[in-house]
Amino acid sequence: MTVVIAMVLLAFAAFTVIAATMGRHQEDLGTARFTPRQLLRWRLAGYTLLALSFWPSLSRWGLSIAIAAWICLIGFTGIAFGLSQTYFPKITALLKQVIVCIGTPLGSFASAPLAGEVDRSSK
Amino acid sequence: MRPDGKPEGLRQSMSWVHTYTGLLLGWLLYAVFFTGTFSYFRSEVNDWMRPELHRTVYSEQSVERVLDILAARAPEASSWTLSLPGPRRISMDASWRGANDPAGGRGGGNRMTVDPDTGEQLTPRRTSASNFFYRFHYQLHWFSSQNGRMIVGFATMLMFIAIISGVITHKKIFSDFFTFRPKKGQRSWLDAHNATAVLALPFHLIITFSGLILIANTLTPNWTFQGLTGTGGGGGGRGGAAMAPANQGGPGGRQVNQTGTANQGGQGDQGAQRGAAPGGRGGNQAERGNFGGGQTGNSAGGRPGGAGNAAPPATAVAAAPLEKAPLASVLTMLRQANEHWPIYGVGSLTVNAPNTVQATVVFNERYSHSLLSGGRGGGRTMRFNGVTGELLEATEIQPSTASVVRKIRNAIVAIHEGRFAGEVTRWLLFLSGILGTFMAASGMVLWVVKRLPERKKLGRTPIPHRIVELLNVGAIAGLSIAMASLFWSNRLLPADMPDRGAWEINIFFITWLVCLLHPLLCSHRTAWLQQMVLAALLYGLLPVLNALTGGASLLHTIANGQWSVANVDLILLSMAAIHGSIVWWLLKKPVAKAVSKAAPGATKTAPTGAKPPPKAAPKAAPKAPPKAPPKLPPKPAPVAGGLVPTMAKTAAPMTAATAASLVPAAAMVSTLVDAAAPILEHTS
Repeated sequence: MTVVIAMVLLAFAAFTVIAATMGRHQEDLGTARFTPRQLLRWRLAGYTLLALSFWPSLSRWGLSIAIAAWICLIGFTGIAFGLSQTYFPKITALLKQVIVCIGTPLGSFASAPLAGEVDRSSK
Repeated sequence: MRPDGKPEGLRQSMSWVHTYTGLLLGWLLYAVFFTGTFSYFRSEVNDWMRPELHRTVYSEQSVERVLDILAARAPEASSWTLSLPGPRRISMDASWRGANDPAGGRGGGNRMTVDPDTGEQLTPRRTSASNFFYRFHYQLHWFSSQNGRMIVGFATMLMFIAIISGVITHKKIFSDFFTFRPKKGQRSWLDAHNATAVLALPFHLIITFSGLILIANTLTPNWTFQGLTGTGGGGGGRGGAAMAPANQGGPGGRQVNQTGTANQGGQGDQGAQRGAAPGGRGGNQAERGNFGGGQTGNSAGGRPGGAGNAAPPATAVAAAPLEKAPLASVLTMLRQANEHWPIYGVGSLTVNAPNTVQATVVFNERYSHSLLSGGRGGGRTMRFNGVTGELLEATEIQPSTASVVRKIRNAIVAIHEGRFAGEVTRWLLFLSGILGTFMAASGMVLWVVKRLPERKKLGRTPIPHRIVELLNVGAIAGLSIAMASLFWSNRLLPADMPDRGAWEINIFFITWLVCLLHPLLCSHRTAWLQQMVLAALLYGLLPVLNALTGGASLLHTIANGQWSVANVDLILLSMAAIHGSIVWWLLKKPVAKAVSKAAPGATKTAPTGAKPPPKAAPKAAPKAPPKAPPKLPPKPAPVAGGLVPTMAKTAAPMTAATAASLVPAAAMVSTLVDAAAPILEHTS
């Protein structure tokens, strides 16, 4: 379950950053307008975070199973993020920094103890 | 060609392809997706449907107890095998190979299910329902397996086309990535369809593509590629155990025979492959995995008595009887093995040459760790000396010997089948399957919603639209009810009824047929509402029925860690919640608003029918037309709450000229509607 929580936190933070760089969602989240250079950086940061959300899965399972679990989970997190934007837009906008600033380290922290459990033979 | 005469662009063409590939076999795809999603918990459903097993509670001590029973029952057996309960199975199965039993691919012909607590033999009821979902999702029913697979394969190809064309069609796939705009009619449906499709796109692509791969053998001529058939699953671990005596100079007579057993268990070409690549189980079952779909597979603890672990028949061993010796504590070995595999633990154990000086005990890990080996091979094993309890060998995961093509195929297929998936991954796969099911359903509903303006212009409901509406209710809501009825029939039919399994399935189809016909007798909205209420009730009450008909209650199963049964109860409750939330949404949505949104013209044509109170909506709407004002046009618009009266009136003037332009199926349905018109008028 820790793996799932870590993945969700990281993926949710990633989607928040990615959404903040997208025209329509930028307005929803109430983020400031980015310069093209900033936009690129934030977008890269978002996708890096999304890639990072694969780490807990990889720490817990072998590569092949980790991919399956990650694919499923980012889908759900994406939908959860979309629904939170629809039904709780103000809260999502208010919490965006908290989500990114807290979610990322918390997700990384939550997945850190799992690294010891990794079964390298499964790669 | 567009109405203005200009050629269509790529997106418009793809939109057309997406719409009609989706519509043509959408209901079938929905059924395949839905039943396939349930199949992720096939083993668990199998446990749920045999309540006689629910009261069994497993502990490590049970192993020695059952081995004592086997010692009393089959003292001369050449091997005993126990499949241990785990997260995906509740029962403990014991099997043994008699001294004179012929060698076979599986562990012995003597098998029984035992109560781990008392050692008493259990006789669970016969049921076909548990595997029905699984089989239905790839070969349907009432067809030969070949024809069924052809149909499903064709539908899967259309699904694949629909997914790809859908991505091309989606104009704002990135800018609308997280967008859902509720309460906006067609726009909301489109957003929901897009969100479930795009955000879970990797899952949909993999599931559809792997489904095609699984069924490719049926769809294509019998071509043989070395890359696909040259080397078996390549599971090395178990083979290592089977071959171990040869390497270690272990118990003499067994070495040749154990290898021999693996070979004898082969089937056709696979037998030869397994002989070449030790670890026969992996090779054989990787092939079988396509459709044979072992009930338990390794994911459920492995089959009792795999060929690689089981001892050979005594006839093949030395003629002289072996010297007797007591068996060391299997419990101690079991604990050692469980400590060695902290994540998955032991799935099964085999005692070879029990109670002799050559006794060995082989433990198999519950799950394998890689998808690449073909799913059921490559698990780790530990082998102990049965007399001294000394660890002889612990195999580790060996790199798969399969070709690269085979490895890729294995990995993709394993995701489709959910092999190795533990609790968390299995639930993720299941929920993703639900998303796919919702995607298919929302696409079908969207087809109808999108055409409401066209109906408004026409002032009537075209027959094809009505057919899609009817089929949507019957195929989507009806399937939910039919599946719930299968669970109910499993419990309500007498346990000793002849042809019990067949009747469970008959009840499923009878229920589904009734649900398909039911929308003819009431309005579209009422049909949705009634069927969804029924589905929510049926699913919601199933856990109660389980507890009342001999099964273990949800509290009991959770408290005792019987997650296979608990998971099914949780699934049933979540299905009840999904259907209940649809009911809540339907009731919340005022009919007046539904009419104005769904068919704006309806407010002009049937104003009195447009303003009933929300809760009276289902019945109020069909009664609306008689109260229409004098300016009412001759043909009332197809409002969401009153389609059937409209249909009954519009169907009458449908003469030969109209009917001739319809496909035969449409004509058949319209004939049915004509026949039902007097009943409809009576009921409305």
